[in-house]
Amino acid sequence: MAKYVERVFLVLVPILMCPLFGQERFPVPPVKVYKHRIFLASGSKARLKLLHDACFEVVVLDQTCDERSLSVPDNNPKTLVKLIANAKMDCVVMPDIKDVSAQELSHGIYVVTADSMLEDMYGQVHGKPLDYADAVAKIKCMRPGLYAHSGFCVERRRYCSEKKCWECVGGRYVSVDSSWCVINIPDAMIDTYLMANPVALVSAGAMTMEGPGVLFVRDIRGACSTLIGLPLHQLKDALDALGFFD
Amino acid sequence: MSVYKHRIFLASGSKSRLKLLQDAYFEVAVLDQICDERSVTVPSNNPEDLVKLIADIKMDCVIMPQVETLAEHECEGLYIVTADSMVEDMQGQVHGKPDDYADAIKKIKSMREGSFVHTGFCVEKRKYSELKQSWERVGERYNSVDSAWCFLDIPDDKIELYLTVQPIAVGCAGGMAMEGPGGLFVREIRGAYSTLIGLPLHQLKDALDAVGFFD
Repeated sequence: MAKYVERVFLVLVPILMCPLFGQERFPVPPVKVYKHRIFLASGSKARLKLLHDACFEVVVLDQTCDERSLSVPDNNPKTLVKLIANAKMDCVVMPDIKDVSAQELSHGIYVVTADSMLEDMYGQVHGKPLDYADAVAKIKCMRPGLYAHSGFCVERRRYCSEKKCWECVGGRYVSVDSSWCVINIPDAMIDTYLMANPVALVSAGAMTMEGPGVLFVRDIRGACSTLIGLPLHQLKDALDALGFFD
Repeated sequence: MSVYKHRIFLASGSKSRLKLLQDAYFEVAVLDQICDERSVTVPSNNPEDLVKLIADIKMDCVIMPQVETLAEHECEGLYIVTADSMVEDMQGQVHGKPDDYADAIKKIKSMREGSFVHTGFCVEKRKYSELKQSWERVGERYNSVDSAWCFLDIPDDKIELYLTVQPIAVGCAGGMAMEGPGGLFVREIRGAYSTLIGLPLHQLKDALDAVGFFD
């Protein structure tokens, strides 16, 4: 137990240092790349970083969806993540209009939700590990390879001052993408991986592709962003269709 | 607190490689090397052999750091990494850095069907000999190469957007940069992501492990 407590302490320090890694050493270019901001209704740090790295200005929103209550008849994780992303879009806590610029109110803001699941080669779906031992077990079970299914949903919402509510403009985009990868962490390296990469302890399947996780990524089939949790190439097409890049 | 005990001495000017290593939590010191890679050729003209050879030659041309600037344990063992990458389109044509903006657009178009990235690297552990007043190798030199394939889907009307959000692309082989905003256009990858960026980390980790980096 004492060993576990010590580990928790060891992993906390890098977590607290993470902002330093991301921001100070590689400052985001001062130039504003896109005209609009993205309102991301997801608590995932990995998705936020993915969007930040792609130079998006991101505002994080809450959503109140109870995803555990959702299921699909065929139990297909691909259909399920798509359904969850869609359901999350209905549960987004919209920002206070005081926090949104006049231009955004009239043009509409871009809201994004997403959901991901990991599936091992035996078809077993994995969530976050329960503890350190469970994380080790999951890492071993992912060795032959894994599928990541990431669903997302995009909507442009405009504020209607007469009805005092947000309205969807131009339809809702829901999509899902799957990618496969091999993250092979040998027994002797598992402790190093978990210590250097504490986020893994709270990530689905104890897998992270970012940070030191990338040392163990042998092969990918599909898009890297899908593995991390948001298929950027599809998101770009959806945003484009909604006039984000105009 | 540092994750690893040792620093990596990277003899490469590539910002992408530096970021890749820093993102993997390595502490990196950048060194210079004076290899004239354009003069290097291989009989087979195979880009895979060529990048491997160039990485090997670069290792011989590394300008070692001043001993005074190093920690004591680093004079006992210091880990040096060199690397080289090339991009090959589906017609087997090898691409270097674009000459200018217009050339970048041309290269991007010729990569539409997908492209191979070949990345070679070399790892060596060196220690400083007080007696000879010079650096000498410890253990074996590791020289390896990895290839990966990717498909950057950039339609004509999005090339301008791509080069705006990804300005470093103009300075990258084949006008291709997959990191950060480049991710918006990466439809598919076959192989390791790090190989595409310019340093096969999964192989580098094995090489570092073999020379005692993680001990």
